[in-house]
Amino acid sequence: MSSAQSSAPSTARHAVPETPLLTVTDLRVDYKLPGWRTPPVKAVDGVSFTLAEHETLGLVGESGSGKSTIGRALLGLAPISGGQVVLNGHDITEAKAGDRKHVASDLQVVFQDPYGSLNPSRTVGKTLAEPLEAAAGVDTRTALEEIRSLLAKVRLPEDAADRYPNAFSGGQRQRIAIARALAINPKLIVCDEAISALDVVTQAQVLNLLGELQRETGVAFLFIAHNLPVVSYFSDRVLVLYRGRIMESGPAATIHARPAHPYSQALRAAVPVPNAVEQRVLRRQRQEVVRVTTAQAKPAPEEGCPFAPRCPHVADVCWTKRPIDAPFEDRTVACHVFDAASGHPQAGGAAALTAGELAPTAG
Amino acid sequence: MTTATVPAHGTQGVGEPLAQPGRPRPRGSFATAIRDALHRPAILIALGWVVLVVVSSVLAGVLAPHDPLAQDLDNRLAGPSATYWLGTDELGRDLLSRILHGGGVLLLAALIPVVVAYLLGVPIGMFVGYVGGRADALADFVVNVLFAIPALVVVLAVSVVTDNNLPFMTVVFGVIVSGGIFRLVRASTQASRDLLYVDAARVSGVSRWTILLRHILPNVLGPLIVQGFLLYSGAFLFLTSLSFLGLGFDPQQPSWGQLVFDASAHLDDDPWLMVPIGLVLIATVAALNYLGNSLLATLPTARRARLLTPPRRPVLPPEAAAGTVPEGRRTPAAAEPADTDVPLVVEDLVVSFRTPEGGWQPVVDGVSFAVHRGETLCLVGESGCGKTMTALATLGLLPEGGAAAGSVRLAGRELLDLSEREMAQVRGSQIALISQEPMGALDPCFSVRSQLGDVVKLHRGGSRAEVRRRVHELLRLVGIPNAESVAKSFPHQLSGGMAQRVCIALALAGEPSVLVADEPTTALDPTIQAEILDLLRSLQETLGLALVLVTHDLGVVADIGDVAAVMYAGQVVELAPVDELLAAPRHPYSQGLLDAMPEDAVRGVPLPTVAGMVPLPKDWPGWCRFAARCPLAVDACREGPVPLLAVQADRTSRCIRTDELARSQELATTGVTP
Ligand SMILES: Nc1ncnc2c1ncn2[C@@H]1O[C@H](COP(=O)(O)OP(=O)(O)O)[C@@H](O)[C@H]1O
Ligand code: SF4
Ligand code: SF4
Ligand SMILES: [Mg+2]
Repeated sequence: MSSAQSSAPSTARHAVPETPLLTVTDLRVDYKLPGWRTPPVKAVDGVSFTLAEHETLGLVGESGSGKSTIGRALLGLAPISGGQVVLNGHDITEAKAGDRKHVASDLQVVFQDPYGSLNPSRTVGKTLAEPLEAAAGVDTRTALEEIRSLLAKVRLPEDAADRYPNAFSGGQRQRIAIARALAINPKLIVCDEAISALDVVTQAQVLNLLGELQRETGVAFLFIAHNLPVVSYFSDRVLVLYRGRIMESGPAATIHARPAHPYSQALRAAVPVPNAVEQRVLRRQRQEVVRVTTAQAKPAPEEGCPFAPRCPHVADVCWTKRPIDAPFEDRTVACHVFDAASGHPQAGGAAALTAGELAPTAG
Repeated sequence: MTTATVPAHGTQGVGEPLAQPGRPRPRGSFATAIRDALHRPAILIALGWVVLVVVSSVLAGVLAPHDPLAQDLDNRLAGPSATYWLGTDELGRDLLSRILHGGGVLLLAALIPVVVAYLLGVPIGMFVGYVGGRADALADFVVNVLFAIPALVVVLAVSVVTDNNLPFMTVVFGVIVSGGIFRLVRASTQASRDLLYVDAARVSGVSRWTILLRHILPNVLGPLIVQGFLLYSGAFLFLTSLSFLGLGFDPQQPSWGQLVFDASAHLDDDPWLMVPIGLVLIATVAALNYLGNSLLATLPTARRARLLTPPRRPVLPPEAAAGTVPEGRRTPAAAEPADTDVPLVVEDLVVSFRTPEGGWQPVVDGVSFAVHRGETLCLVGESGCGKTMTALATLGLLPEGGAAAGSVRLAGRELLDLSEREMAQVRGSQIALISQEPMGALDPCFSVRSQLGDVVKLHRGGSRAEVRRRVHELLRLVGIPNAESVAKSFPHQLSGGMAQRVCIALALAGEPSVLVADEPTTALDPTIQAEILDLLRSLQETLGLALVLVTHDLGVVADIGDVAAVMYAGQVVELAPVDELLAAPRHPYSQGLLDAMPEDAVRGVPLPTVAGMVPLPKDWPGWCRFAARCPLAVDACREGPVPLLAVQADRTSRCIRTDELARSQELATTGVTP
């Protein structure tokens, strides 16, 4: 079982308050596939973490790693098949979207697709009024006031309220979506790939806006994205996910600077840096940190480490035994190399692996 | 942020379908399609006929020259005459009057089943479609049973039991056919249930019925209208058959079915009797069906592979191209036409779109570059800078309303002068496109093998076995080891990375020398992006391809680019070898793009980025187009257009203050605050 909250060093460094805003314990989400004999897909496979007020927790991983499903499960949009979600002292595991008015005021969302997340046939004003009406039954006059101040908060002009979403660019639409999420002053906003569809400049503008809003309102973010540099820039702590499990968790800065888990290293090396010389080095590196391309990889083992098919340090034990969350410096790493008792031939080579000096195994 | 109030067409995101400019409110393609349909003569004729039938049925009492029941026994089975324009029947009743009176009751009665089907199908379909689960399974079962019921038999039985009660019979018929409406509503509801804005409303705690009415019903409306229309014309035909059988309608009152029945008894001795009613009936049913099917055609259908559907190629009239590129300034990028080492040369390319006012608005304004064999040129910039339009223009694939001027030479051959047929031959075999959305470029209805096979056949021909071998060869070329099983799969079974590999295979099928890739990795995860970039690089090395790659990510540029053309507001603002560009940009916009990368940023410190937005083409100023967002702008920048200036032997920049920029970079690296 992964548990970021048990990683003592991280807790100490980041002074998480006594009762966290959000506590997720052993969360599981299974999706049934068509066909009665196909086993369900374990989209989220026993994930635990906590999130403090005012904190930003980053979830990073490639598509299919379960990061969006975690967000959707918290929002009541994905079926939770096991575990517990406690928000602000209330157990919301069973609260499905639709009958969770009381949850709505604490928990909101900004989705990835700025085009799909706004109803094209409703004006921006109507879209922003919706959560206000639903939450408090606000009358039209106050709603108008609110909408005006919301638009100002996300730096959009007042007359935006009378326009339809198609009059706005992707970045502007994302601001509208942020305004909708802020409307009822939630304590936590799930940003599900909120900046992934934007170009670099717009992405930077929206990130800056989110940062400012966090300083102003103290809202906490669950920040989901697939780009490790972006996530580590924007988050206090980071969870690296792969196939529904946490591979590594710890402070954003260290994971970004010195990723420890072989998968985190692959993720880090995959994002090209805007410097031709450095990138040539990184390009060589990225071919070393994975053994095969995703197209060539064998299926992951049922038990064992999900990264085994692509990992350059794979050993026999990796195919059969699920790694524990081994503490390493200020983080936890779910890899046999980091667990001295795992029986992996390179066990104990954690420091060397993190430094990129551990030779690949023959496997 | 004053530019928020912009017309629709200037604000496209990456790869978004374009909204029509100048329309304040989007009404979806349905309304547009209807409006277009109203311009087609056949539709107008059909519509006119239906209106004529309805109006004349309503006004039958006034229009009919005789009482439809009045018998003139001296004139039985008479042909057309001055008194009886269409002749009389076996009892000497006026045929015209009977036809005029005989349609209304049918047209009215046919409404009942439609109303019943709506009342049942819409609410139930929406509800179970939204909640799903057991309610859905039950409703679906009931509908399956309904579909198995032979409507005619049941209605006949009802007619016997209820002593020919027409309203009752039509209601029963409506119940039986409501399954179609139900299925449609349920399917559309299920499709819209997972829309992100519906999710957002649910997260906000909006009630279920509000969501259904506000966010889901509008999506169902278009198909529903179409289906209702088809249902109506079906019901009309069904009731006509009933009245032919003498059921449902008062045998004393004229009805079209009855008239046909009467006429059929005299086919031998007076065939004329059948002619007017037959024509009216056929025309009415045909018109209703034609309208219904035309409506059906307006609904979105399966998308076809983009590569296989060449759009029209309009030519840009000289007056549209004139005046945008300053005279006497040919960019140094242009190479000798016949140089085989430089397969693609673009010179002073102008892309314009028709404005609603009938003029031309350039969106790409005098772009020049050349790509060498085995080299990658990156087009870099924010959305809306004209990168995509530049790329599409080189392939002759501009969207509707767009036109290109200037020069695009492929292996020395001018492409802008080619006809669409010639261009279609060039496309694929000499220059090919890889698009951003691999899924959108693949046809969901066909297997990978059949789509790849089609292209292979088109370019090479050969036997089935040869085509098959080549398909597998192509798949292995793009790094798919289990080519056999991937070839068998359908697009939805592929991951995004796999789909992009297949698209690359499609592009390579015709063995082109130039590959144009529009944001080929933007929709992919970093790990997959890295794999695709590696693949493109190795293909380029083995096949000697020239690659034009559109991206907004300077990391991607660093990884794969040899030369970069930074675009801003339709122009190239900096053209330089990638290493030099990234080490020391010589245009403030390039610097801004570089600063926006979060690579070395520190948590809590805002990213230094360019404020504001790319101006719309109609708002381009007559001076440096970047001035409004440029931190280095001075009055001199606003005195006139800035040409591309040479800053080094192989670099150009559209900025008059490159020295200033260099100085500020110096200060930044030496740590002295400027
Ligand atoms: N069909 C069209 N009609 C009118 N304007 C268009 C059309 N397609 C693109 N444009 C305009 O062309 C400009 C450049 O767009 P594009 O090439 O897509 O930019 P980029 O690829 O850099 O994001 C934009 O201002 C866009 O609004
Ligand atoms: S457990 Fe084994 S396969 Fe998994 S990451 Fe560690 S070394 Fe690699
Ligand atoms: S010409 Fe002036 S305004 Fe334009 S980019 Fe250079 S410094 Fe900025
Ligand atoms: Mg584009």
